[in-house]
Amino acid sequence: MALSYSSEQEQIRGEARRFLEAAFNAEKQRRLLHARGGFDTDFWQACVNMGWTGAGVPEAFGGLGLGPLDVCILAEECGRFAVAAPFLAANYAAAIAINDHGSDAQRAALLPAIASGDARFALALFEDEDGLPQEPATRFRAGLINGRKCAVVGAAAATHALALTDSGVALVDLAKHVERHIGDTIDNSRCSGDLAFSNASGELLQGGAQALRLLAVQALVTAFEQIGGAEAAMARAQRYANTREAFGQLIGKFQAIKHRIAEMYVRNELARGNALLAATGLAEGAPDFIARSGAARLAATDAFEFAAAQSMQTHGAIGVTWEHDLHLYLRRARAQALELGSPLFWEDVVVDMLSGSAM
Amino acid sequence: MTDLAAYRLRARAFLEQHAESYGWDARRGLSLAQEVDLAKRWQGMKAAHGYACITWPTEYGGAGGTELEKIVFSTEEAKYGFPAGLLAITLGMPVPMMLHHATPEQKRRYVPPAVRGEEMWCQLFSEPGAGSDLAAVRLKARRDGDDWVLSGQKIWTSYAQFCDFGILVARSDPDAPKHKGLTFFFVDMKAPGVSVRPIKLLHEHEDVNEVFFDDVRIPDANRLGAVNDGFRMAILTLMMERYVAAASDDGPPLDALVQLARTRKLRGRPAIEDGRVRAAIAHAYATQRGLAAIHERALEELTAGREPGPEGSIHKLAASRARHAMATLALDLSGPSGVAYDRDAKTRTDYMMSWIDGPTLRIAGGTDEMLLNTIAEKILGLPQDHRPDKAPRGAP
Repeated sequence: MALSYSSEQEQIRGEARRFLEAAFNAEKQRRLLHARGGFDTDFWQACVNMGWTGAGVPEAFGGLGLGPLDVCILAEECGRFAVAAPFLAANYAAAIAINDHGSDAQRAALLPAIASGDARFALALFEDEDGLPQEPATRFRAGLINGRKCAVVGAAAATHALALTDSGVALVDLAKHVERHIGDTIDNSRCSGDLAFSNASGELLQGGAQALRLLAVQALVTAFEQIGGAEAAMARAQRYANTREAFGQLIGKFQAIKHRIAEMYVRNELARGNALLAATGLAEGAPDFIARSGAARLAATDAFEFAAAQSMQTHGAIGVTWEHDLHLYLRRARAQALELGSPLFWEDVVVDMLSGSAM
Repeated sequence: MTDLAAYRLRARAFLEQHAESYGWDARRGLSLAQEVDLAKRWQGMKAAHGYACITWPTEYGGAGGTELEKIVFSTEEAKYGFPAGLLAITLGMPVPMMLHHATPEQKRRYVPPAVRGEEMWCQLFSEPGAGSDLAAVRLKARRDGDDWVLSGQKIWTSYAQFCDFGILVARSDPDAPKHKGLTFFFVDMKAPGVSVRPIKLLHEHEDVNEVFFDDVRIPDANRLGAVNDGFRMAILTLMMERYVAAASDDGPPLDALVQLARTRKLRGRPAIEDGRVRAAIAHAYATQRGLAAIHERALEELTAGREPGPEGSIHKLAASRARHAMATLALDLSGPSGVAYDRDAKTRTDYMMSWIDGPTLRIAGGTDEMLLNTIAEKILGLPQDHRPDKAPRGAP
């Protein structure tokens, strides 16, 4: 079990961070907040150019064939800068599902398209607030899909979806017969909205592709994005506590401040431990992968929401202004806590796995 | 198979062979004194088979092994409930300080008997007016010819009533600045003038003591480090263990809580179906797995010949919180009958004992507040608190 990063992986991280540092533009991020269904095409193109879109795609299909942990490093660095990368996690989950459960034709058509960035996947699983539907209302009949999926990340700009239907997980081409209902969200850069299928054409994935497993892979990659965001929020609190003075001293000297930041560290490290266990579990095909991913999701959600909110509190009034970057993290933290199923849902997933009662 | 995997198998075979005589079952119903006796005999057994003080030089009774072997062994050992924890202080701080700072003759006299479990050591640091603020100690060390005379009081000294020797930090120069006037010694706990009074903790076990020094005379040869360099020596003591294997989390395991939630009822349904119970279990699981991963990662770093990251420092803080939350939930699940109290029960198997030990865990071995300070200042680079007890730099 490898829970430590190799030097190659540290290199990947370094390159990603250098690129993102140069590319990060808080003004653009704020503009995206006002753009309903906002999709950052420039950033996506940059991801394509750097090969990130193909990171998790096997080499035989034009990708880099990297493992889960490598993909997760990219996700973590993206999260650190709160960039608009709604397809990072979904594309990776889709690539694994298509590689494992797709037909030869599907693999040949879609995996190279994911690697080249031409295909952008959304996972269309939820239908209401009550977790993964036990009996999906979305129907699959003779290659046609009808139904509505809610709060799909990337819905506004996805080219394909993996949709949970009454007959299983289906691959859907979003070019036609799909209505995208895009409203404003707390973080419009997530590009999310509802997808309504009316006779959209699709194909079922074979071999028992499980919606929960698909979601667990997306949650794993997202957990690293969340950890990156949590660390960035903590770093801003550290920096502020080390420069801002009040009552004749640096505010970082006050235990009310320094303990709060230390508590961020505790949560961040617990989240990282869990996320590394889940990434290893995916790489090694561990039977308890879903429990690990669920724990990673819970811990990372907790860490990011805590760090974003408490970093804001550490900053005082300047932190709650539109012009300050911290709300990019606060919004992202809440959006990511909700969009793949809230902690209430994931607590149940974990306990079902622990107590042996299947979903 | 790697050498380390083979080592693990050998260790496990050894441990399995002795689990019945020294493990959980053997400890059931024992008094603290009886457990200490068992722990010393277990240490002797380990020494006889090359599993005592694994990284220490063979010259002084150690096994001459590696840091990883030590961690592998103690991880396996914890699974069977061997009473190694009772000697953790003896072999974790005082005797290692002797190994590093005593003369060769002193080492030959004092280290091997401790390795064999024949002699126990304690650490006499805290005083009634000096706990987290160690440099505030007042116990006096007065120079008298070739001797020192100690007078004053120590407190919270673990297992002092069973100990043969102790390391101690005392104020040798009352006129020097707070951190500069301390000197470090080792003392014979049976010397005239030393008296020990056990203190009962919440679970009614007398784990700690008050120790009084009434003009106790010790030779200058018992000094470790230079005169007035005692604060630095005390800090070295606290940093002695390079990487402490994840402390065995001495409460009932999570599986037991899941099992309990299956059998207890809420509103006529199994409690495991209740969302509040599920939430608590899920988060306890995430905390435990997170800590386990951090531990595992540290082992990987050590295997690769690198220093483990600083994240291991969150262990005690997070583990004791999780353990207390689990114990509280388990008692809640028992309803009104949860009040039942068995004073002979052990924290490992009894939720009430685990619960009542919770406040102690938050204090012992570094309070939550001190741990957070350490994380903030040593890892995150935040400034130290306002410290009026430290002279400003450059002041006379």
